[in-house]
Amino acid sequence: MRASSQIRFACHAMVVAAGLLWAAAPAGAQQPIKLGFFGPLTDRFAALGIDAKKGADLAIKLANDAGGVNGRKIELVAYDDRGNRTESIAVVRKMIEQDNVVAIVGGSLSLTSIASAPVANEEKVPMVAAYSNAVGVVKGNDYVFRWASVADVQGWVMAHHAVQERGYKKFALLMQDEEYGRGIINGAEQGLKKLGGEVVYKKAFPPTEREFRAIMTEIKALNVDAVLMSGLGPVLTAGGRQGYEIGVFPKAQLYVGCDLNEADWFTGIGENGDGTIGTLEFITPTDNAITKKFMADYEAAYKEKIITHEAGLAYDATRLIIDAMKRGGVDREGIRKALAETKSFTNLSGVKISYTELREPMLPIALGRWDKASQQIKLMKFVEDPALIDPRPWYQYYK
Amino acid sequence: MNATVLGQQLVNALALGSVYAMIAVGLAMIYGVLRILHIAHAGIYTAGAYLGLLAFRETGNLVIALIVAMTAAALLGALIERFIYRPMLARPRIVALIASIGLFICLSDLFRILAGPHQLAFDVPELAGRYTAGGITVSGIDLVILGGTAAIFVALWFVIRKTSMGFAIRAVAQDVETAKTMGIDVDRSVSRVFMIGSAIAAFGGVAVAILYNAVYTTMGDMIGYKGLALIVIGGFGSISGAVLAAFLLGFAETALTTYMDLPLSREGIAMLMLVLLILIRPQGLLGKA
Amino acid sequence: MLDAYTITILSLMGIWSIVALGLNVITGYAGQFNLGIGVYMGTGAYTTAMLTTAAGFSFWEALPLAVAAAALMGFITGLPALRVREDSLAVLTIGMVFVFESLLVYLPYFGGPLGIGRIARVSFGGDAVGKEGYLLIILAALALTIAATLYLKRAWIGLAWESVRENELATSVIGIHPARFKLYAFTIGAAFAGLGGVLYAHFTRYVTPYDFGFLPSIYVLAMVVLGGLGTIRGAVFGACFLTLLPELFRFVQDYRNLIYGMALVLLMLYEPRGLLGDGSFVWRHAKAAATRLRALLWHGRQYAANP
Repeated sequence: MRASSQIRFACHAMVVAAGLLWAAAPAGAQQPIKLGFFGPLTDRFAALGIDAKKGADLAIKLANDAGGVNGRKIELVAYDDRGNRTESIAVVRKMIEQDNVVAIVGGSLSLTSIASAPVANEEKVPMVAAYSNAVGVVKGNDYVFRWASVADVQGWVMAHHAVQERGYKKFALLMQDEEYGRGIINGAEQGLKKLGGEVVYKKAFPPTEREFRAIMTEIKALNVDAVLMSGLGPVLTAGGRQGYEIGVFPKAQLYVGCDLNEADWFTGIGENGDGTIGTLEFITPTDNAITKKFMADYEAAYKEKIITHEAGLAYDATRLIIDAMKRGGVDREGIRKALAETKSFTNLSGVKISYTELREPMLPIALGRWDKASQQIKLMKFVEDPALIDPRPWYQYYK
Repeated sequence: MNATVLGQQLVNALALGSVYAMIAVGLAMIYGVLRILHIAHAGIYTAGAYLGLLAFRETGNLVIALIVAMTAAALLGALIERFIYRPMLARPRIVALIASIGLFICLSDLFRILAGPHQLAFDVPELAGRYTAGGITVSGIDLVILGGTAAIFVALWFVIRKTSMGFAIRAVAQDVETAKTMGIDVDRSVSRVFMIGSAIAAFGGVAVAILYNAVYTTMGDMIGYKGLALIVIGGFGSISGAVLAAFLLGFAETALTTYMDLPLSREGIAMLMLVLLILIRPQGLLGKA
Repeated sequence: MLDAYTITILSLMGIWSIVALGLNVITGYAGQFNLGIGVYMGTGAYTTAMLTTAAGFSFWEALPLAVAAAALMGFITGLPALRVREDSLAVLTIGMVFVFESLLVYLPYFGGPLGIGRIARVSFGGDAVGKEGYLLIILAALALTIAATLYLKRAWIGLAWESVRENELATSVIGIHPARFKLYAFTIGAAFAGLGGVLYAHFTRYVTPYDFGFLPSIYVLAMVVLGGLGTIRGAVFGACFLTLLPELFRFVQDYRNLIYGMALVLLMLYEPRGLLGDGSFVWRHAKAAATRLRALLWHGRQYAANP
């Protein structure tokens, strides 16, 4: 009786000890690295956040399949902020304090990122804002980096292409009235002023606008050479479509910002929009092997061919953070240092990109042309001239 | 500015006004019989667009799609009236208002969950055709909107003025108690009002979805709030007032956004109009003082 | 020690409670529909944002001015509200909040759609106040607001509001000018909401026009009605509950808005007085329990005195 109970105790003890050892052993070396993510996964901006999360998820899956960082797996801790500013502050604090993330991928709108970026900065957690173009997200926050262009750069590139390469003279500007849309049009206006393009028409509209017929009717009567338009995907699609129906385009050339590369345009532009030029932060498809592999991976993961602006930028932003972990170590300070020192990071379009001292990338702008026949954006060329893509000169417009 | 531009803007304004009228008329009728601000009406409008798109994708026939959307919306409207508003009528006004807001939030989120967060295209190739006369361009969907609105309003006028059902609805809108003593089935009349209003909103939803080639979860938001503004401007519960206000708004927005540089968006203009009109004429355009 | 996330949520609860108490004065006490409380909250927030960033004021200097500005806005928007009632008033206030938001976006002085950023951290006696300290300031402001509301409710003005709410015509017959008391309600309620706005501005340290639009406004209305219209506990409970709800329901991430909407509909169907309103299920039982407890204690004391 006594012996048997002793044996039973010994057996139990061994099982427990083995269990403890099994649990403890990987805990030191194998605990996953936690990477934070926040963005609008529900509510009205859900399409943006969900796409961004797809990009981040894919980057992490591919990195883990390739062995992770020094043998450790990476785990994405994702929170929904519903596009709500106070909620984004709450979730960023939560992921920093409760989940102990080493870095954050910002998958949210500019206005929410502007509210939550200072939180990451105060807590000294490096953050890469994936697709928000507002200067205020990065400016003054030493731990916050951007993986996107400053909006103004896009407008400047548009104006430059239209005047210098196409020789256009008369312009109409259509501005979505929030920070991103204003940035693009500011860049375009400054550029046209410098290069001698004449702006004969300018109109602002809210991001919810879908009705452009009255505006397009007016523009048609003005016989402009080109229309430069800023806005989110649905807005550009509506404007482009109605402009074609009323007959403004293709007589005048339509230029739009990076949101040409949105599902809305692909599904909604239909028979219209041929030849529209967009200023993009990356472009798919290209002939580059890196892009081709990425597109194949993306399609395998999500059964989708269209890689939206948010998905692509969040994918690269996440890869950049993982790359920084490998270079600088898996701690917050090391990641920040490595991010700041980033040189020649290859993005999914196969272009090499370095950071400026303002934590803004020198991101080449891809000029893409919408091709109706193939329903794809065709690469015209990469604009890599530092005089055109440098984000630094535009900081003066944002206090 | 020349005559062609003016003509084109006239067409644009008429189409816009028709769209507003289709949502405002249901709101006005519902306000007329129940005295509630039916914010969730915008949700029904959106539901109409989604259902219409679903039916159109299944059948490829726009007429069937419209019938499906309008019938389903009518049913949805009747259900909302029966199970949500009817138990609340004796309670303070704010109760039905909050319930309506809650319902609207529910509907919007339901669309996102069921149909996904991305905007969906509603492409009807047969309506993409454009007709140009004297420099003015009218698209097929414009004609459907203008024709549909005209047909709906003639039919509505006939139903309300010339049928016993319309008589009952008018009586209920006048005074529920008197209508009851006259032997009118008040509940049935109210239910019918919801069905008619919801069906018209669904037609509007489908038409707008085709017009902008877009179905999305928040498509009803702004138009819904403007609809509320329109029934106040028109004079509470006055159907013709709401329709008149809708067309005025269509013209005002088109004219003001294009020919004046107001520091306001279209939404801002509509709402400013509302605020000013309420101050000048609290009873609305066609309301009784 | 509380962690920063908990402090964040508690701070937000406090801020929204103050705004909800403001709306409670207008809609709960005086019975005036208002779907545009964001106008007053925004006025307070933007005033302090502009004063502390552009004009170099400190938080404590800007605070009274911002609250006064909000009160003034309440008075101004209250004037047209005298001409209309109930549903017209509801729609009028919707119109106002859209015009307000639109003006903030389009007029250049207010920083446009980007709003105003880099709002200073609050300092007290020369030192910057940390997250915990700011939570204490919020709680102190909440306590003050509750005390002021309690005082108003019991004073003459509270009785006048009640009679305006219950029967406006009769009120004017007994010699109370409904118009004057409605204006008082708009002004005082707006001042509270403005106070909430000031605290909000220094909490997020960044304000945009969209923070004070229609949707945030109906969100506050939902708080007040959900908690129990016309009661202090209801406004505070509703604000805390709706701030906590999305955090509590994070595990059903995808359905949070659906749950929020459904909660509103079901509550209006089955508990239209609000969860803690007078006469609601919870409040009735809580009161009955309190009475029983008091009786029990009394008996206990009696027994202790004469065993």
